[in-house]
Amino acid sequence: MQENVPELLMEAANLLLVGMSVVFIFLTLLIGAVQLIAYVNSILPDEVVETPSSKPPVRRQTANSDAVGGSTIAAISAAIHQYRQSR
Amino acid sequence: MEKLNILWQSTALAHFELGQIVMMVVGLGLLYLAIVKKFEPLLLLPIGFGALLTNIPLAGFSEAGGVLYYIYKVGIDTGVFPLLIFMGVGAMTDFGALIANPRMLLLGAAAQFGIFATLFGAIALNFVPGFEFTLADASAIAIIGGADGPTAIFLASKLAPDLLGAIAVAAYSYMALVPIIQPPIMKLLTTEKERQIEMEQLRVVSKREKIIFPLAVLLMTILFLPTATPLVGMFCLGNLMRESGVVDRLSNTAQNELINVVTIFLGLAVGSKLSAEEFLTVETLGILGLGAVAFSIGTAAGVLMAKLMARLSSTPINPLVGAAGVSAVPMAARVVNKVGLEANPHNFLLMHAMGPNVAGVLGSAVAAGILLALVG
Repeated sequence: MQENVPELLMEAANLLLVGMSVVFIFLTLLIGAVQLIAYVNSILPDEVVETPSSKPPVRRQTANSDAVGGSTIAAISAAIHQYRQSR
Repeated sequence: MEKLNILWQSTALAHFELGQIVMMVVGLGLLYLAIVKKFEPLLLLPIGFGALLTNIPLAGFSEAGGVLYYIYKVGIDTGVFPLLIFMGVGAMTDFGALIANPRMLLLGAAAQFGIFATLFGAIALNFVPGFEFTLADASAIAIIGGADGPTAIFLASKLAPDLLGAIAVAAYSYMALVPIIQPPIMKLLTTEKERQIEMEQLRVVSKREKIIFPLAVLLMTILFLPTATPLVGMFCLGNLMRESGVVDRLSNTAQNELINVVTIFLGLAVGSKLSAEEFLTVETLGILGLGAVAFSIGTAAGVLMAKLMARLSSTPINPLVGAAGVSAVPMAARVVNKVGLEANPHNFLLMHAMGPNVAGVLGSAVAAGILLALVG
């Protein structure tokens, strides 16, 4: 065992090179795959169907902000005023 | 008088060997770490208790016929337990951060340098008298640097079952020590200014991308690295169950009940390998030392890679996130977040660090596949 240590070391160095290269190549390919998925996903019409369904809540939010009553605004500005004074 | 003698012979007191007592102390030490220090208690508690049980004289827990013997045979010898754990981990993992910023996969790859450098170191240790690591032993030890418990146990059970106890204990202990081992290395390799860098917010990832991602990973593993498919396949199955949203019951089982049940048995089975004759060797000391080296090199390689990417990238990258490239999910990402907050109290790196963190899980599974293909 002790005699062939240099040989084993060579093999370990080999593994180091091959292993790191394969890990990098594999994960780099995966980056490409993920970007491809993202690209395809962005051009496929299915996504457009999804977008409107996610839009209504946004609209509702803007509607809500329009509907904020004067009393709410008054309460908020009073709170801000009080907070600033307390500092 | 003779009856008294027989009675005496049937007590454990008459049969205790020094090694067994030492190993029971080791087991108690693991219980202490788990209960008082809260180091990976989910695993160290059953492992510590398993170490106590397996070293009881006359009880024969780990001999043919003993309960731990069968748990080990069924679960670890076959590789089933670590794979079931991996499925649960897959069901708990959200790849959103990685899909939003896929370049982070490079950090997960760089951190695997710790594994391969340690393989080299383990073989070099053969120059010291008393160490006789074969290439298979060295590979199993080196995978500790992947900072991934199930992967380490899976590979060790295939390549070096004799060293499994020491390797598993080292892997889980160092994972618990991530908050202590990593920050000094991270601070050494980065400047205060680099640590303050804030990163851009990640884009929203659609559900469809999240569903396709595990399938794409699996497809690539099938094509290029079939030896990694046991680990990656189970991982992707768990993840697909989570993201598809149609089998919530299965996904919940995989990430709660099933993984808990398996963890109990996995811990006990690993503990059963902590017998005096297998654990009390110089090699164990070597494994513990090499494990720490593996972890540190992996962290350093991740940070250096992140620095390189920051130089070349148009968008800002905080080099700290590279440290999360060693898996240890989610501990490593939390450490990154903490160190980042120390430098800049407005800098929340957690989501950015989750990308390289889950990339590290994939990276170490890929590295394990390579080692299995080339050494196993």
